[in-house]
Amino acid sequence: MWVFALLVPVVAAGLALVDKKEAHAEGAEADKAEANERCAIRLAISLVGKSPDEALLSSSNPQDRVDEMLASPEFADRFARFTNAQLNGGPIANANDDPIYWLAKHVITQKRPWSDLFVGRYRITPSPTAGAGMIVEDDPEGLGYFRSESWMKRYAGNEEKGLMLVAAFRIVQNTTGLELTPSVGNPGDDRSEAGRKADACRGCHYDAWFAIDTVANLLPTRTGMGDEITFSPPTAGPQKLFGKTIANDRELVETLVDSDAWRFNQCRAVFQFLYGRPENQCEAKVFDACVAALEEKKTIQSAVAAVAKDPSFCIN
Amino acid sequence: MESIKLGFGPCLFVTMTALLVGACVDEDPNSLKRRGGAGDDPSAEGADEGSEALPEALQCTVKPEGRSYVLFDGTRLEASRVNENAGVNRARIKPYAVMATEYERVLGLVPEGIKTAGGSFDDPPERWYAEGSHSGVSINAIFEISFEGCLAWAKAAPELADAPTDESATAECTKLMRKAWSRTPSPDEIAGCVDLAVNKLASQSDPARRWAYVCASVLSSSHFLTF
Repeated sequence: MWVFALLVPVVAAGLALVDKKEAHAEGAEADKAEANERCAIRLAISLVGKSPDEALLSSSNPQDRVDEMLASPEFADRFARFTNAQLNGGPIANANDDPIYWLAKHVITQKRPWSDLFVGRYRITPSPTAGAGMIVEDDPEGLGYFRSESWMKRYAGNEEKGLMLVAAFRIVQNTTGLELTPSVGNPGDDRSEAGRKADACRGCHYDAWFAIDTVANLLPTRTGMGDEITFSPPTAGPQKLFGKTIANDRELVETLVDSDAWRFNQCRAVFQFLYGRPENQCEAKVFDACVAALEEKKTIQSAVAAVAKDPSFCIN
Repeated sequence: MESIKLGFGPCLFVTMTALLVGACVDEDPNSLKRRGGAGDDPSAEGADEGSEALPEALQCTVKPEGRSYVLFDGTRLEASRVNENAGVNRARIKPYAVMATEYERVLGLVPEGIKTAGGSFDDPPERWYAEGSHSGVSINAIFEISFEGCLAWAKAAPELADAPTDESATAECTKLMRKAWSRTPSPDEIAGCVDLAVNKLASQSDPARRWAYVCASVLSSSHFLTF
């Protein structure tokens, strides 16, 4: 009898342990289910801008659905909007005058290399129907959106001889992420070529690797303003840039796109899209995976997938 | 509407306090004290500068060896990265576009008010994108819209016909927080919610409205408004 009396607490302790283990297992399972739910919400909102459906919310591995989301029209629209906001100075009310959005959407939908957004041979023209958007067609003379009339007019600038300084900066900024602080001159300042060669200005306009005036020499020149604006082919001839001779705007953009800076800038944009901030030092490996995917598979979907499918995307 | 105004003060205070606490606790990995948002320049003035203010737990202590990316002038682009640990700085504000379905997910209904509230949330125009953010206007709107949805939710639930008790409030707070936040609430969080339901809202005589305020405080919290 005493043996039984002794055994009771032991058995009870054993049962308690089993209970605790089961409770722990159940707890871990619940934690996993909650983590999956948070992951599903994060993926759905980040990639397609929607709440997750029931199946995704209860999925045991929501990241398995990343490719499906990346193939959806909602992703194409969301990433095209994101790109449009990254590469433009502000929104445009007229849908028929918004070439970056329409070309980005086309490149994503057609699963074309992301570099096509910048160097692809396309013509982007307004739809004949007001508010219907822009039409993207193949054109051997195209250069991403940079030769579209909408974009050229928007960023033609007002340089006295028609040099497209604003467009020149935009091309370098859009491809490499270059950020400059514009200097505000005083009334009466000399803004001519001679003025821009003065000490205070020549750094950005002539000496830096992105020498804005040199880049602009490769672009068409503007005549007139507003609706009267027209463009003439460049006359300055080849220019020395990036340590080599660049013959025209196509060579310019192709050189920029075939650079570390372009690849870095695209994956930084991917982090901005998925995390709402640039990558940090601890995320270097995932960032490199993004760049590798962009180099190998070319599409922006593959670059986004490399980050969104990484386990770290669903941690915390 | 009058009674909403009467009860709004303490509840908004609770909500705002919850948001501020959520936003200010340094150790919170989901802290809203973000750096490097859209438009920020992490390369400006040296990327590591901000890390001086970061607690060590939030810093990247084991820096992986990654590739180097060289700009045309030889600048190493990876040097512009901020010193933050993996898994921190994650909370983002849910965009206005998902709020209707987020309410539906938690409450099973979409408050009418959310459908036309884009202006209060700076919803970006067509073909444009903006990172979600909140202002005084949007926080006020989110509480009013949450209350509207929560009132309909409370009126439709027979188990919420009576005023909250310790027991019923514990059960409903736990259930609601778990659903809204996609995680099990801590004992402290449940206790705060129960205290609101049972004590702080005791002067509210209509049980449905009392439950609705409790629910609205959960749906105005940073855990629900971020992803």
